[in-house]
Amino acid sequence: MKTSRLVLLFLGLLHCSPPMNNSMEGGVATDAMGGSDAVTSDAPPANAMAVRIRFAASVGDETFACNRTFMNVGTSRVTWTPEDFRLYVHNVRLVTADGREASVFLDEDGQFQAQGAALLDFEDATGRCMGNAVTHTELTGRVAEGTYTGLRFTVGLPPSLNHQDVSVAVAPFNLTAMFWNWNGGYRFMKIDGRTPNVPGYLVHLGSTGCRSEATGVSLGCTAPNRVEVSLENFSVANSTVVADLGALLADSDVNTNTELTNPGCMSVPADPDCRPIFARLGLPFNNAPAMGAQRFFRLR
Amino acid sequence: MKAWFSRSILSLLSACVFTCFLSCGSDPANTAAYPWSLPNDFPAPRVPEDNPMSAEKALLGRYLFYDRRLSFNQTQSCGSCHLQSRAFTDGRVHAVGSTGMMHRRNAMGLTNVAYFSALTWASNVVRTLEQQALLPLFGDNPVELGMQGHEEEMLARLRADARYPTMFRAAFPNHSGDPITVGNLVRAIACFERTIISLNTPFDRYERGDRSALSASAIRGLELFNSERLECYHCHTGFNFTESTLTVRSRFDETAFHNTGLYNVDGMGSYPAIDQGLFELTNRPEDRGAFRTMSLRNIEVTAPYMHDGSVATLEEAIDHYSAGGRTIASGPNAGVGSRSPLKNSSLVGFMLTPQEREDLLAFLRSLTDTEFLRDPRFSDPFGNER
Repeated sequence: MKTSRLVLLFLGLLHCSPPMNNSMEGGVATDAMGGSDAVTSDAPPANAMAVRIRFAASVGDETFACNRTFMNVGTSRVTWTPEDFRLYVHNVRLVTADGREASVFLDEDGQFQAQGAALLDFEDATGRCMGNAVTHTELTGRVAEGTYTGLRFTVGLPPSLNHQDVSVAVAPFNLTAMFWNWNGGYRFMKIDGRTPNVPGYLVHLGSTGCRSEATGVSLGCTAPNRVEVSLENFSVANSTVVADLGALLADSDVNTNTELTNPGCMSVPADPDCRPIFARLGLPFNNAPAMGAQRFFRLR
Repeated sequence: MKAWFSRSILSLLSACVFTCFLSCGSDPANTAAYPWSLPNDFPAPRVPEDNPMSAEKALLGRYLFYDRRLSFNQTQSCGSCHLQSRAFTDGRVHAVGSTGMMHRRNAMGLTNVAYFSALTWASNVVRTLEQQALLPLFGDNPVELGMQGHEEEMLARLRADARYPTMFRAAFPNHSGDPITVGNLVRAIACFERTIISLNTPFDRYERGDRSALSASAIRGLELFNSERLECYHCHTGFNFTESTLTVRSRFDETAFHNTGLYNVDGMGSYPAIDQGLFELTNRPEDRGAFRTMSLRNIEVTAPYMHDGSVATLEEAIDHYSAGGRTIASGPNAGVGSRSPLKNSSLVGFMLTPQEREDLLAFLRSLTDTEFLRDPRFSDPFGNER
């Protein structure tokens, strides 16, 4: 076995004829385990109507804001001070009463929405938040005319966007705060905060178990970690989607970080601090299947 | 039989790396416009199609590599943890970032980094220098250069500089609009890093036919290194002393990660939880403690060793391999590395006489390229090296 590996390597080094086409780089370049890569690139139908989908962030019943602290967060019911809250969504759909999905074609606004994906940005660089002043809490797009009673979307970026060259990406994919290069992609969610005992309880969700070919082209990820959200009784006119950090962290002791693990949860399967958060997101964790649907987003 | 075959292959390699290529005919990628500083017809490193080499880009990359304005608090550059005199390591057990945050890992050497098939200590996802440069710039766990969220300020600093607008334009002549971008910045740094090539050690001169380049002791050490008794060369193989090597002539993509029995904290091969190597990325139990094989070039000046800097000297490193794994008697990391079920099968252990130990050390020291360590082409143009 060892010898054959050596021979292979040396054959490579000793190859004396002119180079062939680079067969090594012709491998699979798609995210085979990617899950929902359902971004539709077709144009919206002729009868499309403009639609706005409002989002809000909260900690329990209180409105999220960077320049304040929140009490009674997590199992230890401690004070939590926000430092960042941004996330990507894509694959946005409205659902009719009889269950038919209609894709929402997100507007290209040159800043927060591009290529079927959007950055929801709740941080405004006040308080301990370090990002930028602008926020983005409303998705705008076009959808086939109709009456809709449900909303579905996917948290994260599809493989085609997640594994792009971040160094030359356009907005909103060029925010270095959302880079996650050690895992070969982006942070789908960046929720940073601090508690009395943990100076940075960081929740970074993204695809893990990713590999790249030598050229840097992605070979896919074993744990896509994209969150599927399906909300019923949705009214385009009256509903707001609430991302409730209190619910996300409800089963976590955010005042304690497991020793010798990343601060908070950086989606590493071996980090027990991730388990309750992944459960709340309805994601499988460390080879165990998901336990129910997500409990992070709700309607108001 | 296997031993004979392997040794024959190695001899073939030794003879061929520096001679066979002379008769290999043209290799388009190797005769490309960029004047690599390589021995005769030596295979060039792979270069991404979207970042071709140029002297202007490499020069820009050299300035950027050493520019402290690339850290948010302007106290560190790439060169702060990658000192030329130490073959681009920093001599510390753990690297320390610009805000004082300690890295869990040892700063890596950059000798011949252009030929590595993967980057960082244990990653199968960070494969190009362009990707890698983003980690120290923008990473936050740990904070190194601390530029996350400050990319516009970083670029503004460069735009306001007297030198950079002209240098970026010269390095990226076809860029439409302002060429001072994050994408071009990492490409220039990567381009410079690909020029950091060391192939002129006493060992290299010996391999090229100068029989006087190595002492008798070092030659005996080379034979020990290549012996089935010590098994060093199984992993530290080829001209770069690692199986994780790619050149323009490579036709196979191999990156190898090994558990070397440095720890065995649970009797099942685990390393301390703070750093389990490749396992952190793959979540495969068999990848616990697996790290990429490091090159041994300039190994004499890159102490301390291993991913966590826990081996202080070359002598200690030899003792570790001689024992077939490290035994830690007490404390949270206690365990018998030689009994790790995950350790690489080549770590069989060996006994050396005192003279053989000296010979092996003499060989390892023959991999030091003293000209490289002070080559002005790789030096700090700002004169800041501490």
